[in-house]
Amino acid sequence: MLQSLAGHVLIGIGTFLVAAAAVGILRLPDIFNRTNAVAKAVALGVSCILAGVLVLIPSPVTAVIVVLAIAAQMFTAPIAGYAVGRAGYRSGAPMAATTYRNDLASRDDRS
Amino acid sequence: MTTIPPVQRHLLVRIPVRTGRIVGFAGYYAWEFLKANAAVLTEILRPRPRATPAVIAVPLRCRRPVEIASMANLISLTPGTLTLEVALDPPTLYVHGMFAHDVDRFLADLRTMEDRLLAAMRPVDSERERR
Amino acid sequence: MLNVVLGVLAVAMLVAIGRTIFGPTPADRALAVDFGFAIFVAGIAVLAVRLDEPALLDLVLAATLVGFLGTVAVAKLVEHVAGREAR
Repeated sequence: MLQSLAGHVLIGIGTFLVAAAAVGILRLPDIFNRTNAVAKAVALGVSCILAGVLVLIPSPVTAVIVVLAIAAQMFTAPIAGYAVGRAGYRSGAPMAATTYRNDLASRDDRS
Repeated sequence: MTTIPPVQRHLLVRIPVRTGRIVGFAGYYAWEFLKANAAVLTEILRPRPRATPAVIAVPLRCRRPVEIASMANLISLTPGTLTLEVALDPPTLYVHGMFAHDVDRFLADLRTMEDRLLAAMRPVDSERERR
Repeated sequence: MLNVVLGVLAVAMLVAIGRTIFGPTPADRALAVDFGFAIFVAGIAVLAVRLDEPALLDLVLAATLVGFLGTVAVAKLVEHVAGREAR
């Protein structure tokens, strides 16, 4: 009973984070802000959902899969974020008007 | 400048110290990660956006490639900060921050993280640790 | 409860698909692909509980890795194409 409640709460928190990321991807002004907000919120959200699933289906096999999947999320999320951010910058995606300082501009090696 | 000869404590002292630093870094990072998630979440759901994004050059004291890569990835994993470019000579990260209106504070936070990361990654009492 | 979760995830997936189609820049599309894969992973995991079918969890692992490789590949492609157009 308590176990079921804990699992559902974890899944609920994770879904809330994913939904918030969906709002973020619609609302935030430029690709860099969106990557910032979305890529990581999703990593935490998906990890929460997977942890909830582990609580609801407790078995050694599930535990192995969930731990591996969470580890993979945590290792790959920053690399994917970096790849997207760099692609955005190098392909000349516009920055939000509120960006008030850009140290990269002086390097000027968009290539 | 004269080089100070290394004074290494006994292995039985160094192992617990290093373990403590690694565990401490994991705990510190987990807490920072959750805090940053909460900050980004409130920013997304706030009716009027207040983010002050900026791209800031962050000079690093990391020297080995492993250290630079770890630092870049940990910065990217934290919501609100994103590594855009890595320069190797001298080691510098170009970081896009969502809440960077106070540049000094932003740099100080990353510097704290770097200190703790390097303390965890370098052997205790080694030559490299003193640099 | 789980049905509501699946519904929310479906709406989020629509957002991701919308960004993939209408995304103003190619990089936005790469990000939307990443987001879509993450929602897919979450959806499969919830579905495994909902249908009481633990075998579905194997898909979670595969989709995580495919999603990562797909995102990096698209991002690289965007960067490469932009670099060629600049020349």
